[in-house]
Amino acid sequence: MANSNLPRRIIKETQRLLSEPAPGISASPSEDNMRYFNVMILGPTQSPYEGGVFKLELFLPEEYPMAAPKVRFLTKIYHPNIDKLGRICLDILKDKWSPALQIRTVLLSIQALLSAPNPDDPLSENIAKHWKSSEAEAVETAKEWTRLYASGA
Amino acid sequence: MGDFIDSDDDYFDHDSDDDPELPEIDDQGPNEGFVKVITKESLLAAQREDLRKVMEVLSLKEHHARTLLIHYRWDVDKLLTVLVEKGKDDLCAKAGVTSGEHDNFAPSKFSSMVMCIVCIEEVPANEVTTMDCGHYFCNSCWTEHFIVKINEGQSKRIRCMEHQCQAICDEAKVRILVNARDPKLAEKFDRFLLESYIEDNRKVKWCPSVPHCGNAIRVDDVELCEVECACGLQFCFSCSSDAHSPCSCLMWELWSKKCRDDSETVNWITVHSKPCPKCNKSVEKNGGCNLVICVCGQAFCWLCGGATGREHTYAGIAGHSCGRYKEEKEQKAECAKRDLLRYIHYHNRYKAHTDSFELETNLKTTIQEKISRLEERESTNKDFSWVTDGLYRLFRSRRILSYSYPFTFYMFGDERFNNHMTKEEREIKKNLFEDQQQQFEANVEKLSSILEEPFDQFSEDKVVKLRMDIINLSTVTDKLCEKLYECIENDLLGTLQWSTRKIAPYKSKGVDKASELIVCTDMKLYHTEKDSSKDGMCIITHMPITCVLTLLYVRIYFLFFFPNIVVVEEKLEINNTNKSLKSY
Ligand SMILES: [Zn+2]
Ligand SMILES: [Zn+2]
Ligand SMILES: [Zn+2]
Ligand SMILES: [Zn+2]
Ligand SMILES: [Zn+2]
Ligand SMILES: [Zn+2]
Ligand SMILES: [Zn+2]
Repeated sequence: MANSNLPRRIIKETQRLLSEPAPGISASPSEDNMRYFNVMILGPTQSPYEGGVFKLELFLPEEYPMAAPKVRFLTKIYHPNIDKLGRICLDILKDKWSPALQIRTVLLSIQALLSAPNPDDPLSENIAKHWKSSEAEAVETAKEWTRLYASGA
Repeated sequence: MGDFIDSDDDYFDHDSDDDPELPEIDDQGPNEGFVKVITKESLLAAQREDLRKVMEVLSLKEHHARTLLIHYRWDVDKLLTVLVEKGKDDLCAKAGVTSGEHDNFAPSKFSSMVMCIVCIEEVPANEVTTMDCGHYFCNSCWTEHFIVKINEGQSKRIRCMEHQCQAICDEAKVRILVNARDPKLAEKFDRFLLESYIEDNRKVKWCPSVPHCGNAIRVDDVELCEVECACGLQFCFSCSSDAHSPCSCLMWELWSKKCRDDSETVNWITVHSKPCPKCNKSVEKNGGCNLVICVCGQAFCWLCGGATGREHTYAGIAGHSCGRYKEEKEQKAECAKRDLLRYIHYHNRYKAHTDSFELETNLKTTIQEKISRLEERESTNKDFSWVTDGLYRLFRSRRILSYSYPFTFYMFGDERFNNHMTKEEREIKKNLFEDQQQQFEANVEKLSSILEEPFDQFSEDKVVKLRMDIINLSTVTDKLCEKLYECIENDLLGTLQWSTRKIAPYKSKGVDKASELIVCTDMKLYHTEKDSSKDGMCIITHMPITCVLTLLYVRIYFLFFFPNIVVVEEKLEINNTNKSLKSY
C-alpha cells in the first residue's frame, strides 16, 4: 500500500543510492515499505568510531521531501549529539531542512557529525559535559562503546 | 452662581465626541485620538497603510516590507529610526531581508526544459517559479512546500526551498500557486498574514472580551495604559485583564489569584462557621456572644477557636483570654489568621464596591427613564447632561474605589511592595492614604444616594438645587480621586522599583475610548492631509529619544511623506503651542 503511489523522486533517490552508494554508507529500502530504509554507516577513520559499523533506520514521512526524513541510530553510540534512543541532533533534520536536500546528503551529514562531535549543541547533557571536561577520556569511552556495540558482528 | 455652573458644564462634558461644534475638546484628552479600534473591516487597511509606508520609504516589495515589519513588530517608528541610524542595508540584514537580485541563477530563457532539483524532474521552463533570491523550482514543488508551511503555521515567514537560503518567499507568488491547488488554504494564508498585524504588533492587542467582539486596539504609546474597546470593555493594555488601576498589574494578578484560591475559605468564614476544637465538626455562630457550643457539647471561643468552659459574660469567657498565654505554635496560627482576617477585611470592601458597581449600572436605565419624564414637562432647562455626567463620575469612581482596596492590601501588607518603608513610615502613610480613601468613599456614597433621588417628581426649584449638588459633588469626587492617585503615585509607589510601580494614571475623563481607525485605501492624498499631522504629533510627543535626534528623524520622516516640509513644520509648531496652552 505504502509503495503504490511512491513519488518519482523517492524512486530516483533509491535507485541512485543503490547504484552509486556514497563511500562508507549503505542504504537499502525495506521489502515491504519503500519509505523505510535500513542504513549502515562506517565509523569515519581517525574518529573514535573508526572500525565500527553503525546501524540506523531512516523513514521518509508522507510530506517528504517537504518535510525532513526521520533518522535514528539503532546501534548504541557514545556521542554528545546522539541520545540514548539514538535520536540525532542535526540542524538539517529539524528547522534547517530544505527540500533541496536528499537522503544521501542527510547520511553524509550524519557521517560528518561522527567525525566532528559538537558538544556545544548537545542532545545528551551528560556526554556533552564529559566531552567538554575531559575530551581524551570521553573519546576513550566512545572507542570502548564502538568496540562493544559496533564491532559489526 | 449660575455662571459658575454653566462654565463647569464644559468641564464635565466628556461626551463631547457627539458634539460636532466642539471638535477642539477631543484633543484635550491626554491620549485621545491615539487609541484606535481595529475592526475586522479596518484590519486590512491598517496593515496596508504600514506596509505602504515602508514600501515607499525603502522602495521594497510588499513581502520584504512585511518581513521587515514583522521583525520590528509592526513598529514603523522604530523601523524608521533604525533606518536613520543604521541605513537600509543594516536594517534589512537584521531582519533577514535579502533584496539583491540574482538573475544569474534564473533558468536560461533559451532552454525549454529545466531541472527541478526537488522533484528531480525535467520540467518546462514556464512551469517554474523563481524567487527573489534567484532560486527556482517547479510550481508543483513550490506548492507542496507552501502547503506544508502554511499548515505548520509558518505563513509569516516561508523560506525558499534551497538549502541555507534565508530568503522569504514572495507572498504574491505563494498566493497564486496555493490558490490554484487549494483556494481555501490560500484564504487561510491571507488571514494568517493579516492577523500578524495584531499578533506580532507591539502596539496592537486583541480586545480580551469573551465572547470576543472581533476587535483589536491600537495605541500609540505602549506605556502602561487602560483602554476602552468599542464593545465597551475597559482593559489594561499591559496585561490584557480588566482595567485595574490603581492596582499595578502585579498587584492585580496576585489579587485575582488570591480571590480564586481563597474564595472557599472566605465563604466558609463569612457564613459564620468554625470547626469545633474537639470533634472538628463545623459549628455555626447563632448568638451574639463569642462563646459557641458544638453539638458534641464542647464550648469554645469564637474569636480564637480555642476550647473553653461555659461560664461567660458578653465581655469574656471565664478562665479564657485570647491573648494572655500562647504557645509559639498558637502565635503562628494567630498570625495566619490575622492575615486571613486582613484579607477578608479588604476583600469585603472590594466586593461591596464591585457589587454596588453592578447595582448602579441598573441606575443608568432608571435615570434615563426619569430624564425622559422630565423632558416631557414644561421646563426651561432641557439639558440633563448633569445627571449623566454625575452618573458617569459615579461609575468611574466606584471602579477605582473597589480597586483601591486590593491596592491597600498589597501596598501595606506585602513585602514585595513595601521594601523601602520602615514599619513606622508605613503606618503613617497607611493612615494618610486610608484617610483620603475614606473621604473619597464618603463622597462616592453621597453621589450614589443623591443620584437615586426621584428627581422626576421634584419641583423645578428642587431640580435646580439637585443639579447644583450633583455637579458640585462630582467635582469634589473627581478632585478627591485625583488626590488619591497623587498620593499613590508620589508618596507610595514612588519609593518602589520601576517594574512594580507602574499603574495606569488617573484620567478625569475616564479610560481612553478607542475611536474608529480611519484608513483610506487611496492613500497618497488622504494621508498627507489628514492622518500625517496626527502622526507627526505622535512622534513629537512620544519619541523617547533626544530632541536633536527627534528633529532629524521628523525631518526625514516628512521628507519621505511630504512634498512641502516647511508647511509641515509650521503645523507641528502650532500643535506644540496648543499643547502647552492646554496644559495650563
Ligand atoms: Zn519540482
Ligand atoms: Zn533561495
Ligand atoms: Zn471589544
Ligand atoms: Zn494590567
Ligand atoms: Zn464537637
Ligand atoms: Zn453566651
Ligand atoms: Zn479566644
